[in-house]
Amino acid sequence: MKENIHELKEESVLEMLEKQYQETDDKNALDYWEPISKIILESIELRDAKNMSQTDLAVAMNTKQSVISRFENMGRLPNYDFIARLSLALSHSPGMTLYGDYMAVVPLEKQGFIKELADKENISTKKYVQAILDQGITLRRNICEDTQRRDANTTLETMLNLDFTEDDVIPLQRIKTNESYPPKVTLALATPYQGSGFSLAS
Amino acid sequence: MHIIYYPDLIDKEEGNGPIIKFFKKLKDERPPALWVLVKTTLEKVEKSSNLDDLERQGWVERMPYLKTSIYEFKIPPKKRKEGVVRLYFAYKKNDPNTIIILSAEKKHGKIKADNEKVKQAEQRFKEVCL
Repeated sequence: MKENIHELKEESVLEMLEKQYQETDDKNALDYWEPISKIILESIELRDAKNMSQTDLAVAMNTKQSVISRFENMGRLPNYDFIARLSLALSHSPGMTLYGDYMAVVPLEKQGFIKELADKENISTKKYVQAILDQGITLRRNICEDTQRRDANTTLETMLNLDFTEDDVIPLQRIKTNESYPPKVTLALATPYQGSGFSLAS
Repeated sequence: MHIIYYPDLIDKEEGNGPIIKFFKKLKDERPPALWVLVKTTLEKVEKSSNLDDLERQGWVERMPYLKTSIYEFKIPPKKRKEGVVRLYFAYKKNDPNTIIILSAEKKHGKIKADNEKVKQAEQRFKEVCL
């Protein structure tokens, strides 16, 4: 036995792949393929979760099993019609966004819970998640403003050498929010992966 | 799950290990679709707690004709005109949450695959997993 692997530095494959990605000059070429890779893995996962064979999915999509097989093995680049029919066959409505970096994704395992909550409110899952996201962004923005205000007050206090009390800081809940900010975030939900350009949205 | 690679870990010259070289070559191919698919798949593996799903879906398979517990990671599982990637791995001893990639190769439908990389994986398995 050579060296003991248990004593070696354990660099993971993903760290190595990420390093390779960061070192590349042509990130666009790699980014181009990422959404389709994610869509493939996601559709296989959904098909598997629904206990569907490739043939079952093909029937639901009104196509042939070989078409599904080619798609799942990255031998065929799907067009919009294929993606849309795939979404519908897997009981999702098609979604699409160009905002890959900003796309919000509800992980597959939490989708059931979110749907339950949305049903209780009698609104669609999409609207429910949009509301949560808006709320979260507003809250985060308030916290940032509050911190900035605190910092500004502390600086002023230091400069003027004045006493500073907690009451001088506006409580978070009393800060009036500007409804026009933040801008609406484009959503394409229901995928367990982040950052893909397409989504099998719900 | 945690994925590590061997023997690059003990290679003295950083970035010169066979698996790093293999992935670099794959990344530099145009189009780099296969490299991205490998990366995305491994990211998915890292997020999961086991490989059961991938095994059921045909992406992971234990190599039945080998005496050692070496598995084959097929990315993607079926043949493809532009070629496919096969990663040979084993579970880390006493740690079912860590896999060690022992060797890797790109297979192409037109080329008859030899077993060189599988033999290499077996050899490395003996070095690190027994």
